[in-house]
Amino acid sequence: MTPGIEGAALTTPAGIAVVPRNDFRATAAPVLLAAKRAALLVAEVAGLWAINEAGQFIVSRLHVHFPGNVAGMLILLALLCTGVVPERLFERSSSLLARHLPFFFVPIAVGLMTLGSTVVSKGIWLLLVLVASAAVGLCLAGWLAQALARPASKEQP
Amino acid sequence: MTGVLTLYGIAVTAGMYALSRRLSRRWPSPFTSPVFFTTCATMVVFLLTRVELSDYAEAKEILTFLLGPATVALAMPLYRNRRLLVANLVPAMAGLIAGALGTMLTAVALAKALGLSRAIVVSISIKSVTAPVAVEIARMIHADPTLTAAFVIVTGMVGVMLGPWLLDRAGIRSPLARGLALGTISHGQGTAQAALESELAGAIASIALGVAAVFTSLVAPLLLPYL
Repeated sequence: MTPGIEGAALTTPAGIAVVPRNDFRATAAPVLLAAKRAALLVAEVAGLWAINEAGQFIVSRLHVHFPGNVAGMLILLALLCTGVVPERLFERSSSLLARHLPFFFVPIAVGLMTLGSTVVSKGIWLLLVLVASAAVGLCLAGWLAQALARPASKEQP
Repeated sequence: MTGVLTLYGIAVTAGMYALSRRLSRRWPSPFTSPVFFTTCATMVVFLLTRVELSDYAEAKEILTFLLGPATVALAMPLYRNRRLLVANLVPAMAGLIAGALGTMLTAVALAKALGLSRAIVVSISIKSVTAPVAVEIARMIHADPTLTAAFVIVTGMVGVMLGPWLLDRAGIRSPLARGLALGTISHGQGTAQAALESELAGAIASIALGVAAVFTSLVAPLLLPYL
């Protein structure tokens, strides 16, 4: 073992590769980077959680009938618009949470297990209500937006 | 024992979710969409392995913890596309309010006409809101969060399966109007569908999803006494 020569793996007479210090750092770097990224992500989510808690707190204090998490969303929107919070601060966590949003509410829908009989017996009617009301909403929203947007879209093609 | 069951519940849910992501990539369809497939598959596995819903309560608590932060994060697409909303404020807001109100009132009127129970009427009234918000509104107006979640998921699927065809038939061709309609009525899944049609449609749909959530949050408690 000759100390002082760095950057290349040395082989002892027994044939065991000895990794010099520099190489150790090089192999540890990606691990450290991944750990740092994970820690930042957790911090970002903690920030979003804190805003959600603030929303819940304000809503309960004011005794208004408004969902706390929507209040939290409006708080973050206000923070972004006023420039208090830069857009990139919650960049990674927000896209991650948005992508996997279905996963987080599936457990609530799984509760349907015990409501099975109610839903199955009324299934056709429920489906009718859902399809018809969605169709009415889609047409109303689409028609009105298109009718009102037409003059404006001619001005700026 | 509850600890083991909780871990099992989490593992099944996560496993089915991972599977659904693979399936939906290979065979894209509303029936392989992560929400629908994961919910059904998890229920089937629980029924087969005789897991009671009470065994799953703790797992549910843990898994839904991130729903709040995820809702707060919806502010990001709103902020990113704010100029699009401001530039089309009148048509976007008019269409959104008409669509959101129209779908609520139609659902409630039809459900009442069919003689469905009040619990169902209340739960179905908020089915066009994105799931995490719908569940929160459900708690607020004493609707059933589980029923609401199911109605929300089906509404998302209906919008994807029926929406584009219906909008074609109705002569709605402007990407702005199509995106707005899909986002307002079919929330997340509608937004994903709109994004496939065009970038503009996807952007306006993500705005519509957020604004419709705020709008319905305000209107639902006012509508409650009449349900």
